[in-house]
Amino acid sequence: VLGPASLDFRKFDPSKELVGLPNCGEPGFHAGYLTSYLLDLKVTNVLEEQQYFDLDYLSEFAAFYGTSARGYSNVCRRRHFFSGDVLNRALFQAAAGGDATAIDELHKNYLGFVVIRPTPAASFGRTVLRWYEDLNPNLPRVTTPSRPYVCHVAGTTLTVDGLAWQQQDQAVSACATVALWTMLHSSAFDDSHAHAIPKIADIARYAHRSVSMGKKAFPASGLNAFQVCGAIAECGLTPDLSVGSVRVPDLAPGFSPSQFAASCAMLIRSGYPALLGGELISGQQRTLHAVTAVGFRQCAPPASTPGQADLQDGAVTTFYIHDDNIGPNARFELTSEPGAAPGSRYVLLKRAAPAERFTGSHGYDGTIGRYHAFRPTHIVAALPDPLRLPPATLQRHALKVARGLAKGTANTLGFSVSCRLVHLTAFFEAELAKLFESAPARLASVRMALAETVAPMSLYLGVIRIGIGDQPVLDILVDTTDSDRLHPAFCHIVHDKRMVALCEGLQNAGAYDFGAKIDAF
Amino acid sequence: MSSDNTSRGAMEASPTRSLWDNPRSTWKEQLPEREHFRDPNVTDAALREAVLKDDKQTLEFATPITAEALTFTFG
Repeated sequence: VLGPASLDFRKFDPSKELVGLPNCGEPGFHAGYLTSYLLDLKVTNVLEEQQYFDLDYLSEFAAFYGTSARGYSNVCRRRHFFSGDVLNRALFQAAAGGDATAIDELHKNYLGFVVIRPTPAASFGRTVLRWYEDLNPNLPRVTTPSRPYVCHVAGTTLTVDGLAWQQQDQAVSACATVALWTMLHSSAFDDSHAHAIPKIADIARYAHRSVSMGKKAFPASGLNAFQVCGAIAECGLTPDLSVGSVRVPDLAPGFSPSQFAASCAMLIRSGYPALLGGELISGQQRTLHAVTAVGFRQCAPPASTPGQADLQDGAVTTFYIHDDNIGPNARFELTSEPGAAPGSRYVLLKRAAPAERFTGSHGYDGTIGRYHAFRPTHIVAALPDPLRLPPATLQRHALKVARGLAKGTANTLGFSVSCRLVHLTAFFEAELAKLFESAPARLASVRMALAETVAPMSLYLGVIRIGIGDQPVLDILVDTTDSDRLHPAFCHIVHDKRMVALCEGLQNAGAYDFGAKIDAF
Repeated sequence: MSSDNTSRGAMEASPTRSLWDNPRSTWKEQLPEREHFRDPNVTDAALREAVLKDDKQTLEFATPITAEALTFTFG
């Protein structure tokens, strides 16, 4: 029977706070990575709840550990991490009493939490850590899938923005189960009334419900692409699977750099993490693995190349990945290797840690220079059920229309292209507000025109943004509820009046129906 | 297709943004100075062909999924 336990306040000691905990797989990767990450967040203090019932672990306990002869406990510990030098029992007690200054100090310095499971083979349960500070405001990271996580400790609320990660335990979860679980935490599903974030044991069961292939769900032994898609469908969402097109001798095809970068970036911009299936490569040894891309660093937009349509995100080289072998937000660099066809190249992701922000932090991270390269072969997304238009089809249509526009200039201009899937409300509110932030009259006229001159639109829009360099000249709003033919658009918002005749030219030629015209110039 | 870092490098010298992070208030006067973008000499057939035909670039986004690809087990 459990007795009471006090909250424990202590200084963060990098040599033993996490490093002493048992791991599975590559020794030291998780603990060392998390220690390094927290040091770069300028961690100083820890608050530990010594007895914590974690709903995810309880679902694992009910599914597996509770019937094991080893007699596992069902109680976890939860460690909260803080920067600054202010956390102690007195400050926390003041916050618990409602002292606004103390509450503010706690909120400002809160970095996130790690749940420590009582399972010796895989200690790291649900973990959410803050993103480290973005040092490039002009080309910021895109972390749309992140969401706020609210923790309650002794009546005090602590909030951190991030996306949940955990270590696979090879009992209830394998890498693909964890990757799916992270994916289904995305902020993009918040507006789905039917959506509740499934527990990891539920995901394992869902994956085996219709595609068991004669295998038991527990202990976990990996999921195939069928099962990954099946689990998504069981959650009431639509799976979307893409595979690479670049032939690689004796191996599954890989992705070209521009296809991979643009596909992942579009999903992440839209709030949907990208589950990446592929191979970890160590010398001649190859191991199938799955991870989840949760963010990326934007690249400079393409210069306008006459006659061409270039993908805005086709040259992204930095992705942030939740890898259950490492930890959350692990930074990877997109590199490429020659494919089988002359001139073709396929993507290889390599661990590339950011520069140290705390002297010596990298010394704890065993993945630097040691972690295997990862060759993605599959991209899987979970999308809301009403959304029928595959993201890849939207990219394809966008490239075709932009190419037609370039042709209409007699190939004297080139356009940059980017796509997003956006909830109708989010487009009306946040997206338009950002675009017209200093032009309230124009914002009002565009919103009114969308409401009054356009036929009713789908709940989720495919938004094709076309620009010259980094400057938008045209938005095309596309229906996502029909088949994937090149259907007429709902409407187009023209940001540069010289685009009007160009769009009319394509429309009159029967090349593309841009729908209703909304002037925003 | 010129979506490589070389063609983007020229723009990185000045502060640049993505198409989604570029509000009107930060637009630079850099667009081509011309009265019209549309060239009337381009035929309707050429416009239709540009939009309706697939090429290597667009076909990358239409790769068929083989039965073998579905059986890969990640874990």
